[in-house]
Amino acid sequence: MNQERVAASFQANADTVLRAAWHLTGDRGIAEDCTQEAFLRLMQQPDSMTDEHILPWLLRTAKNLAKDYLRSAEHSRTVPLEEHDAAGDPFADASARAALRAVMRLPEKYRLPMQLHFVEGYTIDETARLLHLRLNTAASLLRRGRKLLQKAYEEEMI
Amino acid sequence: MKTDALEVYIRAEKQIRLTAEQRAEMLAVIGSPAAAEQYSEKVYRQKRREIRWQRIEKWGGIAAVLTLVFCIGFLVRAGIRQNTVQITAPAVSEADLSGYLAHFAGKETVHIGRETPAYAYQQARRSQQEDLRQMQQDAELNAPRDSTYSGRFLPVLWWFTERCIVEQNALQTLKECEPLPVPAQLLGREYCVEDGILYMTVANTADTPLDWFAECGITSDKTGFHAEITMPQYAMSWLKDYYSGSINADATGRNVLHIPAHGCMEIAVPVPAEQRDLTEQLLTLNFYPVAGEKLSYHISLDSDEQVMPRAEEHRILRMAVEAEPAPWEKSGLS
Repeated sequence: MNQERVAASFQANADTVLRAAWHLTGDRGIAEDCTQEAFLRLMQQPDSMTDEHILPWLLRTAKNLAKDYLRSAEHSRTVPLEEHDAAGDPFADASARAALRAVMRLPEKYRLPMQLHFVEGYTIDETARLLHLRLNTAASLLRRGRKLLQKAYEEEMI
Repeated sequence: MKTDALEVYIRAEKQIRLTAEQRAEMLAVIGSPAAAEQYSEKVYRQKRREIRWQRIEKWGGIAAVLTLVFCIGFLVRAGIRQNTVQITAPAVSEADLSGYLAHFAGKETVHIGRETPAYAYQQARRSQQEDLRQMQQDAELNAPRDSTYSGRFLPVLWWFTERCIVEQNALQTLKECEPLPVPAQLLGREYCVEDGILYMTVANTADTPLDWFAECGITSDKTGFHAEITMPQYAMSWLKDYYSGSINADATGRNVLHIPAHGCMEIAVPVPAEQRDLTEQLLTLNFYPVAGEKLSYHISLDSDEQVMPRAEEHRILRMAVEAEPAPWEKSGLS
């Protein structure tokens, strides 16, 4: 894929991919690395890839890169999320910090659908297509994820 | 009032984004010439792999189709063969064979060489093989299709079995023919050279078997050679009834020709190319009886690989034939 299309895609989707990677790693720096690597790998793809397939491909690639990182030896040398937050917390608001910790407590299968639907603004149908899920499955994940998030958030706030 | 966790989460999540500096930095990496070069090379390699696979798939598909067609054709062919009719009738009758011989024997002068009864017999045998082959093809074309046949799992085995039966029938056909008459003399001979091999027929008209040590060589040339006398392969297989003699090595390794009473045999002597190119060579065949006097036959070789006898020997052969006419001359077919 030529650099102009990759750059345009980066402008449009970089934050979405960054958040998806962050959901899996819990580390901002690692998420940034995964994001950059995902876009670099996008350059290897043929120009025939359509625009609507770019974001699903980027999310899948970022997810795989994050999993590779979690399996790697480098992961064992990084600091846990709590220590990281304590060292340089980007969220001044305590409730926001609790909400993010609550999201990280959710099973992985809930995180990405919730991000795409609630944060990025995709409809349930679009979310299902982006993640290659059935519509009912995506809706069910969102409904249950919201309940679990509420419960986890309240526990974090105590 | 209960706080909606989702709203807090959405608000917090949206704070996770790249800063302007980070965006510029990443874009610089993505848009750098090094990255473009690195990934363009990867793309090139990937495309090359794809093209190679496409070629493999294309030619592999063609090869698979051809193989399939060949296998189907082979099985169909084998299926046809297993329904063929066995050929048991002799392709060349005794009368046909006598006709061949009469054609040559009825001439004013017998041209010693290719047009001899032995050579004619070989021609008849070849003609018979061609007839057999033709009959086999005709029978295959006209054979009825037997759809109830259950032996299709071993068509190849059936094919070879059938071929063996046909060969055996052809041998049986030859056995049923009368042995060829031979000129009546103690050591009659017809000889010819084919493909550098001198063939000579010797006959024993005596009432007792004869055993000779045999050797041959060129005596008139300084570079003379010595050759083993061997039995031609076809004499062992197709003409073993006609040629009743045998060659066996004795204890010293010499070849002993054994010809039973009233029997005959054909011997084959490979003549070296350098000897065949020389003119007026004198080929000597020496036969040493186990008990008795040595017999020598001298044959001159001319340049066109034909063996021509000396005039005296030619006359002797004709006289021998005239002294006791052969059966085909009696039949009047000529």
